[in-house]
Amino acid sequence: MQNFEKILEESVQFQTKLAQGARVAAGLGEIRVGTTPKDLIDRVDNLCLYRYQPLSETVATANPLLIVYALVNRPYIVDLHQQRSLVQGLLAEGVDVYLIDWGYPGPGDHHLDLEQYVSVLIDRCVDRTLQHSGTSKVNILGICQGGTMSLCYSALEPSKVNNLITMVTPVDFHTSDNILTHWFREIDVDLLVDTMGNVPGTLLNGIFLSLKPFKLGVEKYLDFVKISDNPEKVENFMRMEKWIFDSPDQAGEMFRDFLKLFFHENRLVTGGLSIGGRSVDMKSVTQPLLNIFAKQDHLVPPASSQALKYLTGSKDYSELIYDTGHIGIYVSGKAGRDIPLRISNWLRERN
Amino acid sequence: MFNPWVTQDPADIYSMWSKAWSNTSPPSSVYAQMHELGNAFRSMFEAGQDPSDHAVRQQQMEQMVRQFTMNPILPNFPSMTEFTNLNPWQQFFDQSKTLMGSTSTVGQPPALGIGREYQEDWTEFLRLQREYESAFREFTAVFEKFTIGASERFIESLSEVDENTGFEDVCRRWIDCCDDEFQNIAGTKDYCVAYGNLINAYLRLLRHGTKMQEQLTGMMGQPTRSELDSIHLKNRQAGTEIESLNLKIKDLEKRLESVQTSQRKQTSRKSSAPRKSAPRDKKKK
Repeated sequence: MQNFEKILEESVQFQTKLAQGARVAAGLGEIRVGTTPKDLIDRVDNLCLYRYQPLSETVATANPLLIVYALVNRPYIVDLHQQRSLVQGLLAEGVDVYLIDWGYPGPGDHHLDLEQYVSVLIDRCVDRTLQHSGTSKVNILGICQGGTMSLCYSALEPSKVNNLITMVTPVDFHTSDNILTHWFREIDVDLLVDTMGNVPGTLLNGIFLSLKPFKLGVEKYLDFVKISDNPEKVENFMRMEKWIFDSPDQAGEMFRDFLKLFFHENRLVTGGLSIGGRSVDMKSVTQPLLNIFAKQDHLVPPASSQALKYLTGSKDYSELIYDTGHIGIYVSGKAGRDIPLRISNWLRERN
Repeated sequence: MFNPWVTQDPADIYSMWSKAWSNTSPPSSVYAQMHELGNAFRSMFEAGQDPSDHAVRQQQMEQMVRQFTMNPILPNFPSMTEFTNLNPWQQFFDQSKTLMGSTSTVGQPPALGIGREYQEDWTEFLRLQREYESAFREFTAVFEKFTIGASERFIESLSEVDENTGFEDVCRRWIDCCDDEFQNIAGTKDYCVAYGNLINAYLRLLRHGTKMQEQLTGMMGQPTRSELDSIHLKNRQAGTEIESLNLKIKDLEKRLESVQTSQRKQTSRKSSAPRKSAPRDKKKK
């Protein structure tokens, strides 16, 4: 009975704190993200190419670093908050940072396919970056799905890429622990895209969250209660929530290509991938490679990223493994402090 | 895209919370979920008042566990599509049913030529709906394995609960049990096939509904999605064409500039040649 009363009492406390947290959250106003100053370099429809304003005159690396983020979710996760910003960390190390923001594809973008994204849009951004920075090669940091696209791009245009960094990037889509692949393989992707046009971000987000429905959907609110009286921590929590639920729709044809070629056919590993009639051979990726991934990644299992090790033609391959999850790699304290430093050092050694 | 975070209206923020919770649990709000949780615990411990009444306690505990481990995906399934503006046909049919009569016309002899096609479409629509419901039942049956497994894990875990165990600890036990069990089942062939069948059946129903909506909107002289799609495709192709023409123009401009530069150099060489050579000749002399 004592236990029952204790639990009831705690349950009431829990609800009170939850309501308190909700009040604090409601009073925060607009949650600001991606506040590091940046300049717009180029714009094509929804796509924007930005250059972050350097913190100092001295540039540590000979070539600029172009960040190619995934199409799912928004790229401001790399600049979520001043204290949790991969971009700020890189700028502090003297790296010249450019970023592709894919924007929110509308119904008119339904026909954008893998070829358009890789051979036209990324290529255009690389050219603009080179033009703007006055260099002849770029370093690319491809994140998640953006890493997969960057690998394809580096294989197609090796002369423009000096070094390639992949972060939580799916390479082998058929590892046994990849639940997302198990699910997607049973879905008729042609039916999905033909029926829906663009694939709703909300749908994808629901699928991602349902990979770990209780941990990702319930547990965080238990943790939230502990910080509910601290506006600063509540704001950080809300910032993450904002990012998680800010899911752009996916251009239909790109989704079709990506699911078929990678999730269904695993072409990076099995070979035979071609984009716009051009063969994409992983052995053509001969640039120095830095592969960063997370041990506890539930979206991209570590084995999926690590498969890159023996796949490319690069003779200079390095790995950085962090004991965190898919999102933690951007925002956790240790990884957040360590990754920019390690990237900039790695780039400096390969100037 | 609608983004409630940029507003300052608490109602929007609460709505966002509800959406977040709907991903994992049937109740539509955090508060309702917490009440449910609290009630379930209350009933569990109320049952525990009389330790001799083991059967009642067991029954109530099972009921509570079932409540906790309710399917987090099925209730979410409609919500995955409700924000997407992809279901206007559903609303459209609700309205058109009022206008055109109910589905009871299916099976009746068509009055006019157009009626037969209309009837066939509805028959197909209902067949696909039944197919979807069947896939839904199959998925539920597979999901039941998770419910049972999670319940067993949780009951086992509760055997370790003592008088010092608090609310948070019990909640975390529930989350761990459910998540561990879900990880066991989510990658199995049975689950993946049932999940894929459910989504595919839903999409077939949606596609047929869209087709019927297109026919009806077409009859009313309204633009259809296929027409809009064709326009988007033409736009995209025109954009690509313009881009490649721009590149060609830039390339031609560069070539023209280089030709002009070389021409200018030749002209200046020709015109300056005698003047340059004259003084040199003079010097030589």
